[in-house]
Order: sequence, then C-alpha cells, then structure tokens
Amino acid sequence: MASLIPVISKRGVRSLNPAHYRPPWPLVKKNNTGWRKIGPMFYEKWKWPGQNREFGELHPSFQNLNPPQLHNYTRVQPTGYVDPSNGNFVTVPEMVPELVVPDLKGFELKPYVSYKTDVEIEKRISQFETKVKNMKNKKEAEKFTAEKWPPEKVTPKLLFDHFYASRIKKAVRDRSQERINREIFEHEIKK
Amino acid sequence: MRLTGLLKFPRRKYAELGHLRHIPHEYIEKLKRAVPKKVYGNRFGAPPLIRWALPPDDYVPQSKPIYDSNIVNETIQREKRYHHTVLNHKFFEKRSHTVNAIPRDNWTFFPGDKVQVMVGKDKGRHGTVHTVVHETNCVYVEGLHTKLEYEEILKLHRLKEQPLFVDKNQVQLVDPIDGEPCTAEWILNSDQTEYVRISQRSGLEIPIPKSALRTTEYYTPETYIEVDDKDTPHNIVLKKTYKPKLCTFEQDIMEEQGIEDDREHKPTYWY
Repeated sequence: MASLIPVISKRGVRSLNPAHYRPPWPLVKKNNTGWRKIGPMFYEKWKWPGQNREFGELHPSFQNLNPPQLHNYTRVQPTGYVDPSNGNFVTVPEMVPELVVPDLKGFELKPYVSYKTDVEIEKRISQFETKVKNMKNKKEAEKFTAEKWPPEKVTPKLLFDHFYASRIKKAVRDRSQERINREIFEHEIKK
Repeated sequence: MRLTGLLKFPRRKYAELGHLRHIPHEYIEKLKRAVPKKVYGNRFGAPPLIRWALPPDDYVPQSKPIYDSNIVNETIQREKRYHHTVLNHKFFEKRSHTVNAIPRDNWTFFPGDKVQVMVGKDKGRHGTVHTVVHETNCVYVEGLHTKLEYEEILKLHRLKEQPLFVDKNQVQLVDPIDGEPCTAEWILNSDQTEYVRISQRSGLEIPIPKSALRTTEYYTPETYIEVDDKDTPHNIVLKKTYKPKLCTFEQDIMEEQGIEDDREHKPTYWY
C-alpha cells in the first residue's frame, strides 16, 4: 500500500500518492456547526465552460470578460501551435482531423423512420404471436426465427451459436463415439 | 425464443395511447422541472448533495390540459417560489399531496369518447372527451362543466372547461345500446388476441374512438405524411440486410476500405 511507504517523493514529479492530494474537506469550517455545514472549497470557474448548462457555453462576445486562458476558445481543437519566437500560428498537417467516411451513394436509409412502420410492426407482432400461441415446445418455435418479431438481438451468444455451436456439437458427438469405439477396441484386445 | 415476453401476451396496446406519445420522455420530465440543477458529488461515499430546480417531493401534478400554455409558466413560478423560500426560511414545508393515478392498464377514457357528466349544472348531459390527463385522473369534456372566467389581458369573459375526475365518478362512459351511464372494463376478446373495452351493465363493446390514436405527429399512423428526404419508408427500414460476421468493427472497415495491417503484434497470453 502506498500509504505505508515511509519516504514520499518530494521531487517535482506528478505523483499519484494520496499524501499529495487535498485532504477530505473539513466537515466544519470556522466553527460552523449544525445547519451551517458547508462542502469543500470549490470554485465554479475551475470547471468551465460549466456543468449541466448552468453557465452556458462561452460565447466569443464575452471573451474579454472571460479568464485569459479562454480568449481563443473556438469550440474545436487547435490544428497547430503558436511559435513562441514569432507569435505566429504554425499549422501542423498531422493535427488536422481526417474524417474517414464511407461513400453514401445509393444508401437508402434516411435520418428518421416514418411512423407508418408502427403499423407494419404491429402486423408482424400479431402474426408471430398467433403462431407462437399454440406452441409450447422451444424447438418448435426455433423454426420460426426468421419470422420472429422483434428480431433476436445480435449478442456474442448469437454469433457463437451461428458460427461455432454446430461444430462443437459435432465434435462432442464424434469424441464420445470415438471413446466408445476405443473402449470396444480395448475390450476386444483384452480378449 | 424468450417465453418471458409471452407472460404479457396479449399486449395492452390501449395503455400506450396518448397525445404526447411521440414526444421524448426526458423532455416531458424536464418540463415538470423536477430536475437536478446542480449535483455536488464525490463525497467519499456519502450520498450526493443535489440542488433541485424543483424537488421531486414538491412536484404537484396539475390537472391542466396539454393545450394550456400556462402550465409550464406555472411550474416555473413554483420553482422560483421554492428557491425564494429556501433562501428566506430555514425549513421547507413538505406538502402531502398524494394523487393515486389510475394505472394505465385500467384506464378506460379516451379522447373522442361519448360520456355523461354526473355533477354540476351540466349533470345528465352527454358530451365528447377532448383531453385526458392521466396524472390526476381527470378528463375534459367539450363545452360542458364550464366556469365563466375573465381574462384580464384580452378583457374577455370566457367559458373555461373544468376537469372532471374519473376516480370520483364525476363522469361516466355512455352505454352504446341505450345511452345510459355505465362503467367499462377491459377483457380479452373471443380470439384471445386483443383487449376490448366492454360496458359492465350491457356487456357490449365500446370501441376505441379514432381520436385516441391522434398524437402530435399524426391523426392515425396510416395517414401520417412522410417527410421526403428525412423519413425512411417502412419497407426499407424493415429490410434484413445484416449478415453475421465474425470480426470487430475495425476489421470490417479495414476489409472494406482495403487497409492492410502488416504490423507485427506482440504475443498475447491467456492464463
């Protein structure tokens, strides 16, 4: 445990040792007890542009009123750096984001789904439910996986069942058959 | 096949009907203003201190109809009053206002239903429901059970409909056969596929009116007008084009784009 180490490094190195962290806030500050308990010292300006939309995004209109670190806030990552000798901005091509987007030519799906699909889905659900109503056997229902509504979720289990299950079943069967064959063989040898 | 889903079979489709059906739930919850304004977390395991816009205990469900524009303003006013009292008083007086909303499975009133008013000056008269508020179990009937109110801004006297509460039997459904007031219940139909609403005194089915299907998006789903460039038609949406493939998303993209990874990977071990 780090807290048991007697010597805690004091070099100018960022350390994760809890001894360097701020202690838990005092539950009482300046003898304020009872209803006047307050929380830790925390300044909202440490967290900017603000949580839960309490302060809104920093608008360039107010930039000169903001702390100087935010004067060039452009809502995007910088694509270069400021040369300290000149004060000029140097563009670094590697910092420019490259978006790899597939070609959407002939792509039929649109951003929204029409509400008429609800009607179609209702039909499919009722069709599936009428079929399944009379079934009690799980195996019997598995035959209708193609017509199932809602369709099965694509989980790792589904992929496993699709690709590996039959192979494993077969291997287990063959191995058990092999074991039987081996026992028969050994039994015959003993004779 | 999941048999657990069949326990709710057949589904009570009527329970999902509502004018605000297609509006996101988070937006409706936000309009109630019972949302956290500021969460002081990270208190070493202690529960977080939450500053509420309006504490959920203080939320009072209103019997106001959806078209009432003042409903949001009133909630905001209440929120301001809450903060004012917090600043000026040591304690906030909790009110006890338990409104037991009738569960949606047992709710039998829909917009467009023919009903009879049982109280007030319009007692015995028939009317059509135009708004239903599930939270407070109330119903607004068109033109009946009104109160004369004076609007200061427009300087008008106006007849404003007052809510009729279902749990207090102030309004009852009308039996289709003889026009007498009746109570309705939900039973399975003969095919065991759907739930139907029947009147308890005559046993006849009271069909769900078409106005009940109306939402902010459409009057009925069949008559919904699709937006050309933004709405995907149903036949394209419901096409099954997925072919299961045993590879990660990154590998799939690499195959498609023709990106070859010829880096030598370090050996990995399973223990």
